[in-house]
Amino acid sequence: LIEAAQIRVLFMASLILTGNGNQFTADVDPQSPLLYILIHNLQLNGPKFGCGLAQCGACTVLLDGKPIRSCVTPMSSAANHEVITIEGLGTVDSPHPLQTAFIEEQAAQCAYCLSGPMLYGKVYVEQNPNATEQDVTQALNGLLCRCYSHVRMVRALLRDARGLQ
Amino acid sequence: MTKRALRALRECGFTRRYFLKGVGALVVGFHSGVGTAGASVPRRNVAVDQVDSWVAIAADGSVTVYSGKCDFGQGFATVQYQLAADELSVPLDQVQLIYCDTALTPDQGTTDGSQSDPTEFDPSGLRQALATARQALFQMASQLFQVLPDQLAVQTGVISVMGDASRQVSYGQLIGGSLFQLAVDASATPKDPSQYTVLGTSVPRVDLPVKMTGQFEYVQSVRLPGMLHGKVVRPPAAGAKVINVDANSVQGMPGNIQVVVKNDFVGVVADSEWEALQAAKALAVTWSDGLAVHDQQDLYNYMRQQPSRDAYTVSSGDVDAMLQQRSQLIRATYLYPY
Repeated sequence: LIEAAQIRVLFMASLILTGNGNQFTADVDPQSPLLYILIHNLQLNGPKFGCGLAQCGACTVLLDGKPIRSCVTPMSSAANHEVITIEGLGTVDSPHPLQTAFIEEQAAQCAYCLSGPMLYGKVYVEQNPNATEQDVTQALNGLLCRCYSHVRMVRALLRDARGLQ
Repeated sequence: MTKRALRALRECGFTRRYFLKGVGALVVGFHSGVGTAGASVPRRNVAVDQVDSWVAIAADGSVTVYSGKCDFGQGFATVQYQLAADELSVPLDQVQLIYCDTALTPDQGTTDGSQSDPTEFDPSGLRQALATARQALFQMASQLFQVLPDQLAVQTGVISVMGDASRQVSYGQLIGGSLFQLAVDASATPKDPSQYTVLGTSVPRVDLPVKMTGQFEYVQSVRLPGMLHGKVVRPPAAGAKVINVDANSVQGMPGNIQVVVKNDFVGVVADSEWEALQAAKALAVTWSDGLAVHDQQDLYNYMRQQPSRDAYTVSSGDVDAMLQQRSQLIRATYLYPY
């Protein structure tokens, strides 16, 4: 449908989606969770279905710059708001500094959960560039990673925070 | 496609690739975008007993290896790059891996049970094919230079005569762009692990950049034209049986809902995942009571009393004899949440 790498989706209305100046229309139920629209209608691979119950964080996207769980956020709430997924941060050829930090720290095994730690972490370290390891660990509380890669993710976020200082 | 059907096709002179093309069937391939080939891929033999199914060497000496295993997130690809680099003595950046494409990669059955890496190191896997390829390349160089293979050495994809560096030939010169046309040789000797220089070292994961930027195609990301979505309607208790399914309860719901009932399996199919989810919630199913769940307080005792089939996962020695030699014995029981 669209080049996933370019996504910086702006929801003008529940049925009209705009990304990088392009407009997309989708005939969707306003009650449908945002996640399904991102996965199926926009064919994005970044946000994942994990639990569908807002308990794991794999579906995280930024809604007006704030991390939210898209699996329980209805399209009606996303209307007229800006949505950014991890595709919207950067690409393989031009990754976001935070993605570079995650790659340099090899901060994932399967990376299925990644949207949660990366997007919650991004917002946290931007607001708290002097955060300690303990702070960042606390900030990732409630984001599940079955591969136990949290330690590396915390290191990646601290590495990114040092770059922001 | 079953193994028997595949064998029958092969015996009829069809390769799998040819068959699929011939009937216009849809070939579903999952790939990560890491080092995958373009669309104009020549027809390939993917028989597991042929070296060409596993490894191809281009004129520039670059090595392409093939694996029938799939990456569901376990990240097995990097080890195969390392394996190819070590087995063939080529730099890591001259290796690319194509995996999990039914038209291009050997049929290695299922990907499960943490067996992707062990399988490729098995006599039936990638390592043996690479060992056969290296043996064949040494034989080619041996004929070229009229010396015995054990007089040859290889470094970064270039075979040279020991003690005479002027006589050397690259893999690309020996076979670049051509097929080995050789069966995998069970007697070819893979390198001894003590000779590894790449395996066992920490190299950056090849699959992480695409995963970190949301580009990786997991199984969950596969989308096909006209694909429908299904949801299982689960019983409230283990062992519950279907008494009645009221298909009218989802009549008129959006998404062209279909109700599927097969014995005690119940599910719905719809145009979209959300529609399927809504219909699965709405479908009125009457279930029998099912099995009683044992009291959780006493669960471990209950489990111990059940019939069991005991088998060793690992048997590494005479446990009783070792315990006899103990200097200290610690007894403990560990219970794993169930």
